[in-house]
Amino acid sequence: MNNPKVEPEKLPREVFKTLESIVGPDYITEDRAVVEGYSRGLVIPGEILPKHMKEKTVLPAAIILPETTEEVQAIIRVASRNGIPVVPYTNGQLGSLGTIPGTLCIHMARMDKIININEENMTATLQPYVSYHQLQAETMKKGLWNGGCPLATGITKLASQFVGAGIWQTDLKYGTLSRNVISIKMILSDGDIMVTGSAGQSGAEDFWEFSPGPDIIGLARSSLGTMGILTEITVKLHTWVGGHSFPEDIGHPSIDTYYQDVENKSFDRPPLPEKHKIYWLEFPDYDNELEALYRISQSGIGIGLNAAGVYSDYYCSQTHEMTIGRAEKGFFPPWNCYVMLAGISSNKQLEYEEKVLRQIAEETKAKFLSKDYQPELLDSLAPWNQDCFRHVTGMRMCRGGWAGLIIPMGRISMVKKFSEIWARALEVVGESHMTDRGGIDSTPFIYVVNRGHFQYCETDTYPQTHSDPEGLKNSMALMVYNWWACIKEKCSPGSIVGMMMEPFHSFSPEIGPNSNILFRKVRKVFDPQGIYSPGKMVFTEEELKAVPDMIKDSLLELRKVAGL
Amino acid sequence: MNKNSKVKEYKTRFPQPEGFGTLEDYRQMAWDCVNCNYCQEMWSWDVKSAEFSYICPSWAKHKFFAYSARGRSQIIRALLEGDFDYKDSEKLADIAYRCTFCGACEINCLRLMERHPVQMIEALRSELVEERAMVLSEHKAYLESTIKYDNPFAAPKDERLTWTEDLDFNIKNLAREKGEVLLYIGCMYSLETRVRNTVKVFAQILHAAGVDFGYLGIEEKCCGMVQARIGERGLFEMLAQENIKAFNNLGIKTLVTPCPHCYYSFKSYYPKVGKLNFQVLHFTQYLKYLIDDGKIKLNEMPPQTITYSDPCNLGRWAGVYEAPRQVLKAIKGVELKEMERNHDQAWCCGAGGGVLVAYPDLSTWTAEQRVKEAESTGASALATACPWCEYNLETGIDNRKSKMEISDIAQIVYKSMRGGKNE
Amino acid sequence: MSIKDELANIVGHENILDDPATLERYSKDQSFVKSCQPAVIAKPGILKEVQDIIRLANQAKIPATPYSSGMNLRGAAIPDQGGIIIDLTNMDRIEEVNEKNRLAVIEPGVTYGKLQSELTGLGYRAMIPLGVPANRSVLSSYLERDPVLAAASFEYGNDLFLDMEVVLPTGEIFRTGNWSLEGEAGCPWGPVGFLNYRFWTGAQGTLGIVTKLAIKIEPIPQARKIFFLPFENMEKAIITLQKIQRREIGLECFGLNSFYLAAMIEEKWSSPENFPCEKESPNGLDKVRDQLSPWTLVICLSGLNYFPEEKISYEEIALKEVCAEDDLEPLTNLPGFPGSGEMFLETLLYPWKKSLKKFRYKGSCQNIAFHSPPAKIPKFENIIQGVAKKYGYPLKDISGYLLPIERGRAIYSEFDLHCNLRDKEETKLVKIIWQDMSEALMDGGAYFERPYGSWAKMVYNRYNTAYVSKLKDLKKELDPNNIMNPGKLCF
Repeated sequence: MNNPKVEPEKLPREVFKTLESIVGPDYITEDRAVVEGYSRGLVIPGEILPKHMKEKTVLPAAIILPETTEEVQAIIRVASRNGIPVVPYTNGQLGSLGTIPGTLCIHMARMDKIININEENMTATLQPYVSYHQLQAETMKKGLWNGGCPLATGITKLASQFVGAGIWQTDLKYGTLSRNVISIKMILSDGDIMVTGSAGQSGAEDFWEFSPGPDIIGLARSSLGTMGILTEITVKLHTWVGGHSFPEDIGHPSIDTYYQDVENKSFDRPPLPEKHKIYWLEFPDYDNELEALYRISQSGIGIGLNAAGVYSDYYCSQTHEMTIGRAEKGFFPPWNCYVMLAGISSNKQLEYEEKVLRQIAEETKAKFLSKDYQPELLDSLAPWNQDCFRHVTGMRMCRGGWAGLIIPMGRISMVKKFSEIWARALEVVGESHMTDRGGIDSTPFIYVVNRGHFQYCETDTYPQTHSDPEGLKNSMALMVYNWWACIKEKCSPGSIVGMMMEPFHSFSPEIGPNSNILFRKVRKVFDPQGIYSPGKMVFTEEELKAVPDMIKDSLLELRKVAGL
Repeated sequence: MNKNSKVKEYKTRFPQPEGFGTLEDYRQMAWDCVNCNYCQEMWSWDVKSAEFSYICPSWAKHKFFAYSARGRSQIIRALLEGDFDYKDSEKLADIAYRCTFCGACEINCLRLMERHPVQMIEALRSELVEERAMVLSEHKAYLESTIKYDNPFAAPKDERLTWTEDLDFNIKNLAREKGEVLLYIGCMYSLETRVRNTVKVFAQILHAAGVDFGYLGIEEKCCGMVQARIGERGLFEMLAQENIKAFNNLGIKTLVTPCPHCYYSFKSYYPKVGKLNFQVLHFTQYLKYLIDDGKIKLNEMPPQTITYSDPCNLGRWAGVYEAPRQVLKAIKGVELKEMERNHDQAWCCGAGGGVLVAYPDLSTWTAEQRVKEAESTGASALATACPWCEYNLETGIDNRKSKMEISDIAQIVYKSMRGGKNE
Repeated sequence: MSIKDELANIVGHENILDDPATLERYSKDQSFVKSCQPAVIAKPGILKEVQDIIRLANQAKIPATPYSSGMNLRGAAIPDQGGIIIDLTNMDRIEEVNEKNRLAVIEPGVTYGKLQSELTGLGYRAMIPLGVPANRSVLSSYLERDPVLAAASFEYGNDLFLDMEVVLPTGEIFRTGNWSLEGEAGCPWGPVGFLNYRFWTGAQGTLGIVTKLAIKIEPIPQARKIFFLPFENMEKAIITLQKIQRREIGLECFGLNSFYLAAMIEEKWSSPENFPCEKESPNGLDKVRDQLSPWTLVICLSGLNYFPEEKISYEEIALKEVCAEDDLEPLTNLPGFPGSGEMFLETLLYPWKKSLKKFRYKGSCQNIAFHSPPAKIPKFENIIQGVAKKYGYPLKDISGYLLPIERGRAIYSEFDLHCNLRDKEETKLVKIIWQDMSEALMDGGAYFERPYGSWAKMVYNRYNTAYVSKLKDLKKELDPNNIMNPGKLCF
């Protein structure tokens, strides 16, 4: 095979040596194979296509694994002094690649301790590599939990979710990670530590989320590692009545018997945590579904309210063949939702809330899935029993290839408008997979937030395999078209609940307006030397001018196609 | 939902290669790693503490992604695509070989993505050894020994008889006599002094139960598992062909082995080469049958709490989770307490995949972690059903100066048979 | 052309004020923040006028201080360096009330009184803090993070923002939420991440002027039941409070000490509208106060629109279970005060009707407001009492308010020292006590997250230097001419 090699740009030798003296030789490397292990994030086209095109950008110059905040500070000081761009890495899933060759990847995997759980103040202080499932496991022992878990699964790290998404199935009550952060410690580009919230005041405890006066955390949230590196995060905890640990999944697959186990349905049927219930409702049409979402969320019941759509085809299917078969048959009801109830105050609360739910179901012509109605369907949905609290099957969505997602937000009624935009996107750009039609032929994934004040809804694209550049490009074009179509229809900014990445930021002056100009100022303050993932969230003027014409032209072309 | 879809669908995931796959057979699989990291950490529902939430020993120790299935997938992809060459990395062999083949990554990846990362890594090792002569010196010693002595441990063949010296009965050699059941000992049990005593117990139980069994004595050859997993498939195939022929000629109905590596080799690897015309059981499965059939009488033991460590090849690879547990639960006085990582999420003992000999630092560290986890259950004893586990976990116990005792399940059964608390 | 003329060109002459009496009025409030006269008051009526004023201020390098209602009572709207006061009271439109999506869109001049009146007519309400006047600007109050009475409820009493429109210190518009691309109001997230709007909270107008805000509104519960729990001391109150909150019982929950409660209950005092106000004779205050326990917890159970009585019923059972553990019985009226339950039910919707009466004691309340972890509150009460004793300030004359936030993870407290501002000696003494108390509390770990007046220096001197440094740098970038309310906070 005569494919050209991809060689990373290395660090200057004296810089490498200095970094080595900080962490020791076992925890820094520029070995070609080790570096390759950091060459991909999740399979968003923006991260896969460069691999197809053999771009150097995808490869870090070196990987370094610090163990303490002091080591991170020292690393940053060296990087700053020498103009070395850095990118922090936890799971390395979303937006974690460097943006230019010669980037140092700081992998936080050794900083995985829960520093403190304060039961009285209901807080937990974490190092950056602590995951949702670790945090939940430890706090549930004490009758507390963090309030939810993303479909990105329980393996994601709260610190990186803070600078990323952090959206949960229990947002009806708990309102995403945004509502649940008390403080952060962030290493700035000069190596100093910025502390937010009451933790920043000498003598005060780490218990209150607002900094005095204007709150910089408003800018740091979803900043994708472009403002600094988190070395600690303190999150809120809430009452948990579901027992000291999850009841065990009663089945255990094995490698050789996997397909037999699938046929025997002997696993993936975890019991619900105690004092919690999940109800699945099936609606006759979209209007009734949306009306039910309004009524249920505004009735005050429940901790989670979501509609699952095509996602169950993936999450609840233990093989891809099942996924395709179910999608073809329309196995899962297109108009549906699930409601999570918790008896936090008492068991009578559960009884009351179920009564309210039944009333609303009657009003909106919904049927409950039960042992008397669609029992096989209900049985298939069993993974949700624990997935709702601590998600894991979410990655099944990536079996069929996965190329990204779009998550617009707004009033519950906006969901229908978004479905129309999505349908148009598929017509104009073209499908890559039948499950692209989730969101049109069935409900998108809807998360109702903050007691129904608003929602965000999600559709994803699936190019069938990650090794097909054309399929990936098609999926990418779908996302990009959708981005601008949402802007044109004034539907919602941002592709993922408002998160922002270049080149879309600078090519979408409608947002803000001119939000990129404002955030350039923020970037100037926090990253004057341009070491933190340069150009990831916002381009400087020079960086904007340097965008290759080919990319500029195709972005502008898609803008036109979307009507902008 | 697909009413208007115009797109043709691929229904199968990754067609399994005939026999062993080459690295090229895994190109698509390598591309399709989504970097979810469930090859490193537990299935989220099962996590019970932060301390015991990782599943991949090699990643958990070294922490660079390259040492997990995720990293290895990307490396394999890059090698196949020519992004870099085998000789461009000093650590490539290290990355390929610092893996015990415990399969923890494989079960999670299968369950989520229907991928087989260990198969891919095995193909990489085969590529390194058979195509590029990049074999570790410690593994080379294993291979040379196998050729010379029919075992990887450079032990003269007649050492396979040592364990029989104190037996108070004659054990048939099925190379010369007929019998229904072949007790296939395996090289580790036969030749590793630390676990050799356990072997007697297997024979004594079968004898006491009146089973018509025998062994192969010095005619027993290595099952070939460790050679296959090191990457020397040719040598494995040779051993397998020889063994299949020899076993099929014995006229046995059942092959029982106490070693999960051998068990898995016969169950899952040998079919790539030929067919065995008898059933293959692990010793704990046979024990269960003997107990259920009343051929073994169990007496009450002094009250004790025992925790059981699933051997990877028995549990996660082959799906034999319950037989060992049912055997333990059948003994009155024994309370079984599960570790946090159990069944398909069990933490490896650290000995498999050629790691024990090539990377004692990783092997020992892994065992120490498992012992720590066992201690956290409050149990007084750690039970297992594998010589590699027994060996390595005992190292872990010694290093941690732990008060736990390690026993094979058969040893506990035998104590119970001999009177239990009244012995 | 003079600045006044240029301003008149923008807003019209009738919206320019610079007579001495008016300038004097805008130069101070009832707090101890030093008075400072502005040069002129300009009253814009629309967004463009606000932008034009700010651009003019930039050109002329004159300070500009936004004023939404002047009812902050802690000096936020008093200019530090003179200049233009941008009085936003003319921008008082309630642009939208959307019942289905439970939101209202308001301009800065919309007051609590106006908004609540409109909403209650429709069966809805805004969430409102205790102790703020009816003519306080809702927008400004929310921006300043005044904690509302229902703050104990994670879902209903916190995070009340939706979309926001701000004029930046250089005159450009920036919008958050769906407004960031001029979409329909209703979602606070974006344009870059989830929480951009947070940056403009607590800013006292130093980072721009918020000209429109979408806020959450809630339906008035169809059933409510209020309970009182008297306590002899704060330690015991906190213990029971935490248990109640851990089981997430009730919507509103707060504690009042005997002074505050007495001021609300006693019948002779009228509720003031201007501050400082005229003091009124204490009449029956002592008698009422002596009948009350040192601290009383008030808890309101609420049922919304589905089987509301049943909701209250199960919560009441849960409440009684918790109280029984501590040998307590929740009361539906304060002992000796029949009708107090009804009074408080009204107070929860219209807090200003009773909660401002405390001002009548001496005319002004010098408020010390801070946040604390729950376990430390008794310690802070001791600090306050210690300082008061040191100066001979009567403990029974300090009003106290405790508000659990988010199910009791933190407690917000307000303690008032009462002061007759006309009495120079008293004012001087109370100022010293207030200062001393603030320092002592901060030294003890009390957290002042809204640094008004002289708190600013105290707070920022104790705060993480990297944070403060970045905040100043951000201010310089956004407000290169330093015209927006300069001298406030750490700027």
